[in-house]
Amino acid sequence: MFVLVVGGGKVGYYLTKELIQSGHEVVLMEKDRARADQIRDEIGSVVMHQDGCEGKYLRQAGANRADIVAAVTGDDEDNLVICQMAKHHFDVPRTIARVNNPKNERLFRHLGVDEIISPTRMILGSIEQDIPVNELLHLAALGVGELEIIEAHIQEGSPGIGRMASTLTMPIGSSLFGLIREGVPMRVGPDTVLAEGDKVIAIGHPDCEADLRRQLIGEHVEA
Amino acid sequence: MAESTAPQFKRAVVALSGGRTDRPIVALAAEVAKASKAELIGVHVVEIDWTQPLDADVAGRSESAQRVLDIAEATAEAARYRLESVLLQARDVGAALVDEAVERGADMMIVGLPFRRRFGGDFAIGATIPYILKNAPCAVWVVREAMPEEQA
Amino acid sequence: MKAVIVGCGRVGAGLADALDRAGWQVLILDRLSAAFDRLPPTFKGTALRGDGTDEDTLRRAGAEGADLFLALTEGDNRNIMAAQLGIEALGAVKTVAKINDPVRAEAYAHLGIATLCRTNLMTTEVLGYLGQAQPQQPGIYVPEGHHTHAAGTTAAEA
Repeated sequence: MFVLVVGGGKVGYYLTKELIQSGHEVVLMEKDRARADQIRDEIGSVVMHQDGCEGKYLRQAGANRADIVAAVTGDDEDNLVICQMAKHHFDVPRTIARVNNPKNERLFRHLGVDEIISPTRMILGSIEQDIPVNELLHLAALGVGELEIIEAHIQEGSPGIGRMASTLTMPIGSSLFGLIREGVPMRVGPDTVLAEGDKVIAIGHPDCEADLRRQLIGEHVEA
Repeated sequence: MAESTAPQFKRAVVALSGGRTDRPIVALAAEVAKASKAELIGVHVVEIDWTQPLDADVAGRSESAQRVLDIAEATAEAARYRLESVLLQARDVGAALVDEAVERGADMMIVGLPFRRRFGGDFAIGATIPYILKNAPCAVWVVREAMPEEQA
Repeated sequence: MKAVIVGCGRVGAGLADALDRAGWQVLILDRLSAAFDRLPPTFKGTALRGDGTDEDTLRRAGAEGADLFLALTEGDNRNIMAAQLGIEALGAVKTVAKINDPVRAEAYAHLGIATLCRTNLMTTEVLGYLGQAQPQQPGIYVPEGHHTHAAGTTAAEA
């Protein structure tokens, strides 16, 4: 696999090193000369001192034959442009962008970036899982169609308690696909009755979130 | 001349850039090598940019690369000495030359440096020679050509 | 008519003033409040300090549904991103992004964004002044069709 990494910060540096170690061909583009020289001294001539946002230099770095372009600079706007240039100018089959502002995830996905890595979102997700008061957790964002996997905690007073799954009016674009009861995973069938303490796993579009919350958790228990 | 104090080496890599310094450094290497019957390896590296895979068939098909080797061999022959010529294809000339020197167990590398100026008038040494000076484990001779008269 | 301008440099401030005088409802953003010193005291529009590449900021500022969205900061990529936010998230009708790199300016025109390229504009003007033959590089690249994103996302959006 030939991977073009743009941005020689901590992420780009370790990514490049790991990829080389696993036997992939890598070129790392870094626009700061001192930083580029520093990395080159350590990992060799795979480092190119140029701005990866410029089409001319992307071409020189081999974007025309790259299997993957990973844009991991610290600036969202640069990462977006790198991925769009790679995709539309060089037909790179797979583009990956680091996104710092989680709000940009949707825009990037919408604009054709294949894979979005959000350190902010990851840390946020792991904090949410540690805080029991938030009844709706984002477990993962799926690469396709802006879908999310959500976990809802059925707590005391929830309108979902005692209801059969088939009687819930699930928002369009969402689906319940399982639950965890007392630590045991179960399938959700039409006749499954929800009970207090259940953790319901749903898949859906972020727009469905409010509706899901209303159905499963109720509005009054909002922390 | 058995007790000669002339500098000696057993095996030298002569870096062939394809430029005007190739003939003089091969001639010099041949003269010095005679004293110790040293082995000369002329190495020309065809740099292959990232737009092509490293194993693309470039160097082998290149007539100009072949000509570089021919000129070096002919120059050595004129000095009545033998030179083995090697053609390499690599991403980076400096790294390829150092690797070759290490692999061959060379105790000397000889490189030519044409006198050039960059835009703005500063002397330009390029990237390859500093890399070699920094990384080659063997001794290195850098033979800079004379400054052209109009610039001296 | 409503205009959103991201970047209150000389061009941004000048256009804000002109549109304001012409009776438009103008909203202008810049990351530095000092930039608003370029606006004349007669300016009747809204000037807000904030990041024009941040969707939240733009929404809070009321940048939705503009007839015209101009991205005129000093960063090509910031302008590219702001313009695409304007089109895709905020429903702007007409969008222009300043992109000084001619390669990117042309590339994004292919993706459906009108782009303004100072490099080409100035080169052309200077050559024109000197009476030299002018290159075929436009100062504004007219977008080709609607703003398009990569194939593959469209199916998922349905």
